[in-house]
Amino acid sequence: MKNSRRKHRDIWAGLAFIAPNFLGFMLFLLVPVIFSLVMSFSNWNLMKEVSFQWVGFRNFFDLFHDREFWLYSINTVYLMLGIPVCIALSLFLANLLSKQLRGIVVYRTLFYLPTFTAGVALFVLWKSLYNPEYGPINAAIRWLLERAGTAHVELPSWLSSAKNLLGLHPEQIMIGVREFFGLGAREAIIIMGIWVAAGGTNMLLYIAAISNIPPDLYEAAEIDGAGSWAQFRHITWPQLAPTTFFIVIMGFIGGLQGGFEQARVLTAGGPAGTTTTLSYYIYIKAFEEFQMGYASAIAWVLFAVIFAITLVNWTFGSRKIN
Amino acid sequence: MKTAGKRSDGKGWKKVLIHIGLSGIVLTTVLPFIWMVLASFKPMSEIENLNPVPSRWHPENYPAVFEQIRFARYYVNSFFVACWVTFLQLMTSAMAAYSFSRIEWRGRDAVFKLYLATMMIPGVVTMIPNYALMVKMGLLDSYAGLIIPAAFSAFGTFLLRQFMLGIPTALDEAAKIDGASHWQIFWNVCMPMARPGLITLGVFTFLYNYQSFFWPLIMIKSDHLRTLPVGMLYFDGAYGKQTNVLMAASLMCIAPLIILFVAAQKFIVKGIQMGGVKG
Amino acid sequence: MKLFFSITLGILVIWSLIMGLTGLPASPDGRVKLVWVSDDNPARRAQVDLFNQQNTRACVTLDPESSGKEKVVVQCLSGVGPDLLDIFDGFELTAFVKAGIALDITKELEQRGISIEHDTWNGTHTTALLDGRAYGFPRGACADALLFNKTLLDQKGLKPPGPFIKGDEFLKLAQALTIRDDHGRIRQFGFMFEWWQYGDFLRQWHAQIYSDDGTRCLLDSPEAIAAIQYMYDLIWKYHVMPTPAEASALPSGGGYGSGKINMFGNGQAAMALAGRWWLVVLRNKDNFPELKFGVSECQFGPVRQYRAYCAVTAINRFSRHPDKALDFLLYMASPEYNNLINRQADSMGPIKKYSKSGIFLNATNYPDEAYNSVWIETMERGIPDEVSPFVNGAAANRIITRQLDLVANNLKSPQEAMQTAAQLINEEIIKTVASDPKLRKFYNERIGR
Repeated sequence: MKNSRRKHRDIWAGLAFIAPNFLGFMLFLLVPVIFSLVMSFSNWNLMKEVSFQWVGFRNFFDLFHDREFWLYSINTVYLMLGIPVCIALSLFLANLLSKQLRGIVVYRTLFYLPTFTAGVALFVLWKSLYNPEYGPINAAIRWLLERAGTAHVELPSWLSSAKNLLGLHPEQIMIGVREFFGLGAREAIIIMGIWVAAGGTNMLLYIAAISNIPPDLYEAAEIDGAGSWAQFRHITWPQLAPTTFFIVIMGFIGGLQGGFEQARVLTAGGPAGTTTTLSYYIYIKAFEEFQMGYASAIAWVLFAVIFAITLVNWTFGSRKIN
Repeated sequence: MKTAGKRSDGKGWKKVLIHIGLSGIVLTTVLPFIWMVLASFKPMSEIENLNPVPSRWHPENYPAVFEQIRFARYYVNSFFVACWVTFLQLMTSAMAAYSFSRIEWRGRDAVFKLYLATMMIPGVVTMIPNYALMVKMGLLDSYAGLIIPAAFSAFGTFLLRQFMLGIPTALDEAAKIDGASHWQIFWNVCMPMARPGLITLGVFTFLYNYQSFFWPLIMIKSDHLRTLPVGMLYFDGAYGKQTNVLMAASLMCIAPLIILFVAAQKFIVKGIQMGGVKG
Repeated sequence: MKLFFSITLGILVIWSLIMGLTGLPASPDGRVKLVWVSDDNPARRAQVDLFNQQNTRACVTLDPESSGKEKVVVQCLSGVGPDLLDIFDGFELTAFVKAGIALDITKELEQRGISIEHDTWNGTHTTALLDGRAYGFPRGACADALLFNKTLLDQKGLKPPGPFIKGDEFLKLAQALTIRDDHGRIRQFGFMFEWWQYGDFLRQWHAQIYSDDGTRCLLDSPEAIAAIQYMYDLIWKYHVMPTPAEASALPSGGGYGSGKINMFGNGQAAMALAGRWWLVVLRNKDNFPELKFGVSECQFGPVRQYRAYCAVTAINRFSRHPDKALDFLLYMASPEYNNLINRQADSMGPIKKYSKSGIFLNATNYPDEAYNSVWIETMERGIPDEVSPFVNGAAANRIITRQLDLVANNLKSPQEAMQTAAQLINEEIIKTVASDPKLRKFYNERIGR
């Protein structure tokens, strides 16, 4: 009797405690998600001059034929090419930091600093670093080239250049175009991204994971006479698989919906749209042109892709790990 | 840790090599910051100079920032918004986490799964309806429009729940027998025990909202409501050629974060390793 | 813990009160405060100050946000819009009128005997008038001319050009004024324009962006291509202008304003295509102590006409004080305001007759500037951009900017770029029309379907 009254009271207590959070959760997350899905089938526009109308799948159809959408998808994927490099570097650093050394905390702190302070202020800093004539990056390259006796090689103009390492054409879906080979705005953003993230969250996750590897595995390997590369190859790497898997998925999710902040500050999406990512395109469509219906459609396509990739990764990845 | 010591490569020269390698990497990490500090002390005539060290130290750049834009106001705005959001998010998340971890009620697990499921929804999906909602509620261009939508977090709830699950139930059982209400148990038992979790979540919430860019960019119109990141963007647009003053502003922008980071480092590292926080 | 959170809450509440009370500069003496979204610069502030001194009922404050018409429309509709806002072309005017934001002031102007059609420059009419109704008053107008640095001409032993020159004479000057260093790098550029000034070149090649009925984009016409080709050639064939990479690398002495103004002021470029409003910055002897410059009307292409542009200030219909906001528009028709603008050189005052008066032409306040008739000449020959109601201006702009970006960087020929631009804008028109039933009806009427 007493117990059931307790239970009964508990349900009210439980609801009371969760209520503030749940209301916000409903209002700002759950309802908007559904609302945006519904609205992606309309011509919803915040401007009063456009009369509201349901358009069925037309937004998605338009999107499919929207050349800009495809180009910006390529940009998004291109900018994600830095992620594997970044993960490899994080792993490398984590390995070094897992050796018993003095001053580990100092190293760790300094490595993590760019991640913790990343934001508009740091992007503004990098904008200055990339100045083709007076920035320290090109100054360093010039100095090196002069030492190497090849002073008259053209220096990259970084943020104002549409060139890239794959020779991607800025407005056609074409690769290996001769005039576009080189270092440009996209590489600039990738390099900055690596600098920001290499010693960041991923490194800390790897450090934690490495410290959880049972030491007797290494002891056994040492007895068998395995060198440090063999130890890494056969013990550390397989033991870290779940962590790597988690990091890769998070990298995918972050990369696909990222790139807005950097591009807005460093290049405003240019030159010739080469640093405009999908999230930037959504910003343009939704908050500069106020075509909310169309923007919702892009957002949902992006969501669907993220969801699909995560799902595939999950089934494929977990099978491999187990 | 002792055992880990065994597998450390005992040879001294190898250690030295690693130290050299690590120092090299630290240098590349820190060099941009050093360049930033030096550039912020350069007089205008030297910003084109390739030598990063100013020949004459020129601290006047710092007051110049405050004269050219309402930097002080942006600064205070950023702190104000970030503090409110942190406070509200800690409160709502902690209460929800308490409900999820300490109270049994029907449907609890279903609701929790719903929370988990929404965590992977990209921000851009909800951004558009949320903006329209703010327009409808008349919160466009107001502090409330910046604070309220950010005050609720599924992730924060998840993180604190994990922390609270780790607190032994014996303590609140005892309190319950003494006739304490949930409200009392929440404040007197659970919250003190969840302190590390609260600090971790607090630091990251503060960081995230101090640096938040997209939402203030679309929400705020008036100059006196602008936060630092948006203020920096306009400053860069209008005075971008004054690298020295710009660097002074940037440095002042990230200085509080560096202090916060050094002060709360232990909790930050722990928090990331526990919940995979996206920093 | 509870105590800590309670105290924090208390502090935050008090802090909120303080934040709410501070921030907005309070209006003095209980006058109504009007907010005007316009760019913030010393000249604009002086214009506002003069109004605030004269008017007893209202006082205007500047809100320097200037990020696009769409944003302002949404703000107005959601009740946080300004009282006064700026409109820059006919497209924006149509949008503001259709959204029900710009207040119709035809009657009010008539009652006071002010006629936009007769009193203000031709170049402002399409931005202020729609179907014969007035929705705002021009706050200034401009058509660009050629600025030249007299000192640099002197150094080369060149004679300053007359009040009117043609393309070939201009090109000779530009080439003579381009100076290279030993490495072949350019130390001083002969000339410089901004790519968004393409409208000026289009005008001079008799090209149009849109057809007269606005249903089609005509940027792929041979005339438009020739105009863009000329702009391209100045950079890549004649090398009298910096490439975008060279321009971004050039340092400038700092200070407020566009980098290009500073480049001209510092003597890095000897000539520039510029509006009169550049003078606000260039006259500043603190920034440019040695600068001496003149102005010519320059006809680059086959036709002697220019692109006129202006800003029209309109009243937000949702403003709580439309009558007081009207005071401000009427102030813009006053001689005090017009003379102030003309003296400041913040482009030209909206009312023609004040600019044609002796005070302006004789440059009483600035004896160096004995060339003010040039500005009147370009203004008289100025034609505003034609606009299309069938395409989102921001989207069309984005398309054009990107294509010009490619041309400027020598990544695409002007012909291909303009063909792509026209094609994309025409696609955009079809998409826009398809998604809006009302607009579709209007469109079909225009193309006679």
